[in-house]
Amino acid sequence: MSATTWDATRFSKRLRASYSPRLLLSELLLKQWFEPVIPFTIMLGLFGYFAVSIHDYATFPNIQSLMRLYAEFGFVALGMAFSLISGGIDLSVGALFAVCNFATLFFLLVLGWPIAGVIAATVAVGAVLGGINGVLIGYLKARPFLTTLVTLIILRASVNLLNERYATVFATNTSDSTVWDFLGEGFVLGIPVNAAALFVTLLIGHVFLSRSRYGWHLTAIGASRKAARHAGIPVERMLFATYVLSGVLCAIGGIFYAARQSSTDSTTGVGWEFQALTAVVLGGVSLAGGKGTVWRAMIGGIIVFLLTNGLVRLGIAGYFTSAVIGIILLAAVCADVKWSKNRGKAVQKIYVNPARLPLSPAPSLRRESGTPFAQNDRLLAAEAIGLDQVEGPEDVLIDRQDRVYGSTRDGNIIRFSGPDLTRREVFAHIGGRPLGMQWDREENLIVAVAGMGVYGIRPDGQVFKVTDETNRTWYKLNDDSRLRMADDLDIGPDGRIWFSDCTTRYEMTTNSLDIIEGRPNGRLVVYDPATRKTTTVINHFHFPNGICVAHDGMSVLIGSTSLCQVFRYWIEGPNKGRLDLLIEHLPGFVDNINRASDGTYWLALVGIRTPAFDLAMRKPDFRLRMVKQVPIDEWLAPGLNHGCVLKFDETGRILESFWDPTGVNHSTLTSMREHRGYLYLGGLENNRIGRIRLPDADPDWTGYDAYWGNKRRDRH
Amino acid sequence: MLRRTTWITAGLAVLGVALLAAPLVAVAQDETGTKAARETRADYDKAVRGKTIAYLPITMAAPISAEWGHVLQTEAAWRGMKYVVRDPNNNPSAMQQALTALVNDKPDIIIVQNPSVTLLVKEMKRAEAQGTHVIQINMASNYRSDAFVGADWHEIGRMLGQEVVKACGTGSGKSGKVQIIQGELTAQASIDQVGAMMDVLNKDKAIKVVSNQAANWDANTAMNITTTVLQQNPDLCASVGFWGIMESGAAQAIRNAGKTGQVKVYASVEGSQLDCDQINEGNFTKVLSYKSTEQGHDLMTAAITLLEGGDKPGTRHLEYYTIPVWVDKSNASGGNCFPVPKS
Amino acid sequence: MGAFTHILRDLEQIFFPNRDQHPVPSMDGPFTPNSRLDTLEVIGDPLPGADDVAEGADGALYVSAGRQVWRLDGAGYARREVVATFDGDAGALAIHPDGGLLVGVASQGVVKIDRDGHRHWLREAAGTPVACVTAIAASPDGSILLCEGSARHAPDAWLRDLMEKNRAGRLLRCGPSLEQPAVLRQGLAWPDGLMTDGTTCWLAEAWTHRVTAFAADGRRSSAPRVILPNLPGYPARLAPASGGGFWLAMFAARTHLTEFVLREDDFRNEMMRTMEPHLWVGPALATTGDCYEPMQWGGLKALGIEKPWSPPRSYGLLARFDADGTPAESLHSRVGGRHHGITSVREAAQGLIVVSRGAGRILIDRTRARA
Repeated sequence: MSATTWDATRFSKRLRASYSPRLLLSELLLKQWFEPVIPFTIMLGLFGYFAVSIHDYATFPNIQSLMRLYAEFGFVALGMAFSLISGGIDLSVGALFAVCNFATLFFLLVLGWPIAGVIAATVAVGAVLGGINGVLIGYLKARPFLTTLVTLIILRASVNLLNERYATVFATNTSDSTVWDFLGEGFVLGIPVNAAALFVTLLIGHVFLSRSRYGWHLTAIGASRKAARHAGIPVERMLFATYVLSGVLCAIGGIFYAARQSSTDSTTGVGWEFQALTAVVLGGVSLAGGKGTVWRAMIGGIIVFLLTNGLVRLGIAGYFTSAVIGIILLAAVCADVKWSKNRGKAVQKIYVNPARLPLSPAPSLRRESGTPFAQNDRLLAAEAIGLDQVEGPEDVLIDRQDRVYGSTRDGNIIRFSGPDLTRREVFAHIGGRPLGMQWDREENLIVAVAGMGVYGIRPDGQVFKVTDETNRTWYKLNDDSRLRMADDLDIGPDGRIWFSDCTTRYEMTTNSLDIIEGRPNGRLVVYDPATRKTTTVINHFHFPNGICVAHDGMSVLIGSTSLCQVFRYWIEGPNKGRLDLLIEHLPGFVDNINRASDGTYWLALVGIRTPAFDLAMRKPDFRLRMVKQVPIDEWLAPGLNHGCVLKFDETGRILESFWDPTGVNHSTLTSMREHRGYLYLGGLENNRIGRIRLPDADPDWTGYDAYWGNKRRDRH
Repeated sequence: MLRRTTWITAGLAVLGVALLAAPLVAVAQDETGTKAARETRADYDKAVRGKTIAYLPITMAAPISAEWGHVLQTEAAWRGMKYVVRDPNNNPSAMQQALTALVNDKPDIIIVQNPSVTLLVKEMKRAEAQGTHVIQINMASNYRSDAFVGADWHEIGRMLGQEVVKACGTGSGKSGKVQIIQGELTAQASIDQVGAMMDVLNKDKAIKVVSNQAANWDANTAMNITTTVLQQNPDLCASVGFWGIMESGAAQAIRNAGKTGQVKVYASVEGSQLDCDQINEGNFTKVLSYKSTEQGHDLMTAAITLLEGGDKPGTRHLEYYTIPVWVDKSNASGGNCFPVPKS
Repeated sequence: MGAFTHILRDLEQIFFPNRDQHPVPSMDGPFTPNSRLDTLEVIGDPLPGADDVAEGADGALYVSAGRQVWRLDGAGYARREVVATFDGDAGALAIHPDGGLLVGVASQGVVKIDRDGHRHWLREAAGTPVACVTAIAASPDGSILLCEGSARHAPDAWLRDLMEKNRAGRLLRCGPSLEQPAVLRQGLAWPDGLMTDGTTCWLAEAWTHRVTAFAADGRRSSAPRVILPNLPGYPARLAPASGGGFWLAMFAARTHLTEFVLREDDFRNEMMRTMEPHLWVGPALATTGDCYEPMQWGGLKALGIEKPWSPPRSYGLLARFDADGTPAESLHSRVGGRHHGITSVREAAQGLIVVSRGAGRILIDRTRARA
């Protein structure tokens, strides 16, 4: 191993190279649950500030006390959140809460019912009152704002009247029930009872809203009521249920408040509807409906609660407190609005994270250098098959009837047949961008299609899917089970299909970004037709490209484009599972690898390592700034207009090379295939399939026979 | 104004002198003067000096609670006590939370003004259970704590009622219609005042209470209520309110209707300059002042009593009632009107 | 971290809003790309290293190529002969009103070969050797103006001078026999185009892509007037155009990548230290097709076609301007074209002569003979 490069056969090294803090941040930004990051940060910031400036704030007893004080407001905010998500609003939550608080005390102290009955009755009261809202809004199509405002006024007045009447009774009676005291003052695992109940409710609410059909219906109604109705969702029923739910949540809050305070007066719950509204909107529940989660509502609620509580405890004068709360909320909302607008742009800006990728010094290509890489003109006279009739045949394949297949960029497999290979037909249309091809035992054409997966074509031209996903890597934030860029494939003697997925962070159209990034984003995947399972075999690989099962079937050769190296992965035998470095020093970028007739291998170099690009790969900051400041057309690229074909043996020694030094006929040489004494050439951007005669090659050798027929070199 | 600066100067001067002369005095105390004086002072200091006194009004923006706070602050500073104040700005849940936090901090004395008879009961109980004395000021609750300082609302209600009967009852030649504006229905001040007042009013058949509503201590609400009442009863005789600031709204409504002087306006007030201004402008007829400056002194006295007494909190039940003083045009000045303290 | 480059740049734009950003202008309007340079007629066989052209009083053309100066005359300038050979590369050429030939020789200085063959040399001025003469102009009153590209490098190391971001050029003025050289201006950014009519002098600076004019009367030169502030290419030599205005040759086009690398000190310094100059990221006089040359993604050949609008490594650009600097027309040779690296242009008796150093060819447009 040279001193400047590092050992890519070690998983830990590759894992380390595939991560950076900015990359983690960009992946986090793509996650849905990361959206309310601003309110969350503000919440933590507030807590930190108060922990520093208020004595004993961050102690466990104080946190318990805060939780207990917050829980009832949390229930009310939750009720408000659900009604907001459904596209309406429930302004009566504060008054509902006060009524249920009163009802609890009434049932308990005046009527003397047992605790269970009191709770059930209060919840029923809340449900019924919420149901009134629900009937008006859901079935009678009244506007939520005005309806709940009216309900608010009526309920508040009722509470005041009832309070006046029963105030003295409440004042003189108390309850002796221990259950009641437990509800008001008890702890569950160190958490106050009401906070624990709130947390359980949040979990249920989260599952309900995000995973159950009713939650989705609710969100759909909020997003677009018309579309929801057209989709068959029972809109009226769901809206009715939403307001009943809101009422029930306020009732639960009222029960806990009554248990804790045993007090009801004309100020109970006053202003809570607006505080709750502020809180949930601050947290990220949209006022327009259809967007929001219970956690966002809680984050907002906690912010508002911490602000009011903390500022009072700091001893700040009252009017100043209101002003400060207003300013902080305003700032928070502004920041959040700006953030949600610009999140996509922020992701784009920090998505590309170039890493340092030093390569070993390149062997010389000069004609006079005498190395096997020395340039020559052996491809200059290549004949052209299908000139201007194919667009970018990345790989070429020949069947036993000597018909030539090319995978082109319009999603087709084009076939040339006839004595001069002049007859052109579209063998199959798959879509995506077909790349590497190979024959399986039944002479189905298995092709790796970038953007889709691995597909097969039966001899009659019928397309079937082999696989389009692999197992998800458990420690990755983003779901990488989709195959974004299946590039080359090969089939082992047992029928298992080994293929490369070049990059999990970019697509076929943006794979230049992956080369510039230089991180091990790709993987080697295997599909087992016996079990029909697809598994990722080698994760975190630098742009794996060419795949070739070795002649003896015991290992798979993998070409890495960014590293300009070829690796061997053992699939059988004593070294099974080990990854070795086979060819360390190459002057260009590795593309496809295929078998040669004499037990050696062909290797295509799709581009030449230029000193400028090698230097750029050692300077990640340069590349990062280049990506941001220079238009994409002008970015520094590897020397892709020049390529060559190499031949190497089992030990990795390069034997000879074939060049088109002008790059006129064969630029971007991506593939070569030997067949009956000829070498066929494919290019990613080319307008032809090339062919040269190999005078010393076996004139009867075909690819199919080398894998499944009489030219096999493995133990079978 | 004069009084406040006098107090401040006096307090600071004393403090300064005390600090400067402390070593001398200490030395002197050790050697000169009567032993009794020295021992008294030492006992006093032991009981009082360094103790924390916490104050939690409904809001510091009202003159009544601002004056209490001002007096407490000055006196606490003079006695070497630590003074802590929390301002919930009329927000009941903030007040609850502030009280919880204060109780957790374990001061020696907490002074609480209850917005309703039940809201803060639990926390006050908790405070006394853990060793903090609780003094309730002016608005008490259902719970009897170590001390209560304030007006005797029964007495206030009775006196107001008697005055109303004198002005509008049998033999006065007026319509007998009376409007009562309460503060907050579940506040002790309201409950007791209205109870006592109704007892007196009911004795006179000529008096008819045409409106008995709560305006939540808010002048605008009082004004709206009074405007409606005046429309319904143009011959309204008297309007009684349970707080001067609130009642000024009613007075405004009466002035808007052009009935100033025709409708008698009574209120129970804390005796700030604002109330005196209202009287001098003719908006209020006669008010019953419980003089919050005096109440402030009474608060400090109560605190010191409890600290010197050394009893466990929850065992004593002290009461300090304030003398109510009638204030009308003839004496609405001077010592009857304390200046509204600037923060 | 990459996050802060924008902040610095944005701050700079806030505090210095009037600072000239000098962006690469897009080629549109009169600069819309075409292939007119490729269709021009070629004069005879290639002259590798052809740099400058001057027209003698007798109508013959003098062309500097390699270490020699050639003379072309006859119909269509078909006949050619070597008139002078030097020890260093012959670069800038001018004909003196008295008939002498002025040649700038790399690393040697400036020589005037008068009619009887005497050579007068100017080898240094103000204590510094005159080693890098890039343009010479003789005014009608006999004084000679010449400009030196850089005090640090020879003319063929122009890429190194660009990459080092030097401003080491000088403008000199001497007498009719190259005596008494006086430094008129220094600190110039590779001045390589000079034209004078006696009263006004036009100067092209390549690294700042601009042409300035100043009144050169007497021995003093006044403050320069910027005629062309921001060109899409690196300007080379100027020549007067009949009908007013002037022709300007540009030896390469500007690209965003080159401007970017000029801002990246770390990358640029290591590039200069470890790589050969012909493999650097930067403009070139000709595309050699060497596989080691730096490539840009836009230059990827697709379906065998080299796109003419790819980011150019070398380019052929010739433009004509009015006297006030308004562009009138332009001739291009785009990516994949034949005639790149236009270093000189001259209106002669038989046509417009264009020197393409990248191809080593002299081109002629007979329809534009000097009026």
